[in-house]
Amino acid sequence: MSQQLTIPCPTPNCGAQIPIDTQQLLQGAQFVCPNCHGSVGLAPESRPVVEETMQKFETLKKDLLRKKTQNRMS
Amino acid sequence: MAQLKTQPFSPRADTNLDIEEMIGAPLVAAARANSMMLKEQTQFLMDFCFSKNGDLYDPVMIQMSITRGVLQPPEDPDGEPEIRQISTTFHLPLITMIPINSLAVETITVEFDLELTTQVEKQVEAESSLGATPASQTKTQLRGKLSYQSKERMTRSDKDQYRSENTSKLNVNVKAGPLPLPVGVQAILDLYTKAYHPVPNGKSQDSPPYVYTLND
Repeated sequence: MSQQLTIPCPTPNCGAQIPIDTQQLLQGAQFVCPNCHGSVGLAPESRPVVEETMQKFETLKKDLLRKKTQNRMS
Repeated sequence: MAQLKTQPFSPRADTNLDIEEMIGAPLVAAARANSMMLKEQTQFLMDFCFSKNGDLYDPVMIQMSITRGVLQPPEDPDGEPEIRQISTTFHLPLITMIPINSLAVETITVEFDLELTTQVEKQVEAESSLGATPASQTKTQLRGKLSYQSKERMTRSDKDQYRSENTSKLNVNVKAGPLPLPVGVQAILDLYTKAYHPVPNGKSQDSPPYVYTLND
């Protein structure tokens, strides 16, 4: 079960949910609001922070799976 | 994505065990694994998505922009209206950008062949809520041992000796996958996601109506 990330459109009087993908935002992709058609993108100055956090989050997920595999259920 | 892991487990086959314990042990192990995963994920959120400010935790904010076309009336009455691309920046809590899932053990399947050896009936005194004499109940406790396969094999170095080996196997299938987020974490995410709704910037009369200050 994967959860789709969404953010509410910041355009006044819109508020539609814009589906986003963090990895694609880091690649420079923009996501379009289905209601007002505004395109949302990550500002270049915030890219390093998000990139670093996502790398650490992926490392954490791998660590947890590795620990679980190593942990024999005895 | 859910992952299926089969973990062999070789308990001793020659001992009588309480069946309740045999079934319960893998479940207890799964609960411990879940607890460990949740704890580490929460620690990650606190370390990287919040910055400590005294006794408070402030969310780490990132900057995003939204670009959209706005129809501009012509300056010249005879001119044509034009569409201008307006870019607005806004700040968003970093936590809303992380694809957080409750990574946890989703299902656990315990498979083993069991041989019942003992049935013990115990008298248990049930507590009475009315203060009357406790009633006596009979509780059945089952004990058993894991069925085993008998193998015989000969080692090459010691040809005259045969070794008999009894093996027992208990397969524990653990399916770990993302679960729905706990209500508390979901509430925090909703709170932060809604917290950046724009509010009008009333500072300047010259500001066009589409410029907004966002309440971080």
